[in-house]
Amino acid sequence: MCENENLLLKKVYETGFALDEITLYLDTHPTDPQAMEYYRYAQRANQEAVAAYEQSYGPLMSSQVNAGSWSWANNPWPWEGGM
Amino acid sequence: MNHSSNQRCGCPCRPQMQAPPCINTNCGCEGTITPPLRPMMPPPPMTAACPSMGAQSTGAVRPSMAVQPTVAAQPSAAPQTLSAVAGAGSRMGNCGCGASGSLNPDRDIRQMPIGMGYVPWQKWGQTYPIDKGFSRGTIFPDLDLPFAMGRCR
Repeated sequence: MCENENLLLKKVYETGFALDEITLYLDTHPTDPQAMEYYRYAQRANQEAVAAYEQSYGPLMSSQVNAGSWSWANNPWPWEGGM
Repeated sequence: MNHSSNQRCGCPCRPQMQAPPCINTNCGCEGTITPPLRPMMPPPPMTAACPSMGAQSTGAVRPSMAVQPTVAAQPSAAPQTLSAVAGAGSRMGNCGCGASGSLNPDRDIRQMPIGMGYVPWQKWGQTYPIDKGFSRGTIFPDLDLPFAMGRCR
């Protein structure tokens, strides 16, 4: 996995985690407007991170395959160094 | 044909446990179960009604008095002690305000009944940058509480 791919994937993890955190906070504070604003920020950041990764390195989830063919099987398999 | 022994919804599902009473003092739902009688305590200050309950009277659950339930009566199970609620960390009283067992900042903890656990309520504040939050394990500096060696002293 090249360095750029690692960087983009790291961004996916980081923004995904922020989304998890704000989700938990909103579960107990459903009417907090600042929390809701942060949720939108984290949601957008995560969507952008996922899109940036997938544009260069293919789909992250099998439910998100948008190519004309089954690109899901293209990336290295785990025993080939992929994930 | 009603297969259900569920007293609440009448649908063919498993019987639901009765929701614990809300002891959030600024909720205004006035609880749903008569709490056990307690030694007389100074009455808590009146605070705003629970926001999720809309416009309701600003009643507070008073541990020192028996509370008359204002919601439709349900068959009462064995009376639940407040400690079971406060310590359970459960989110829901019937009011759904989600603050069961929480500590309203207007309440003095010295006025709260003994024998129960209380959780201070998290307030919104500054958050970590995205990358720092990931490495610290939380986006909230207030919750960035690393374990130190050893036990409580």
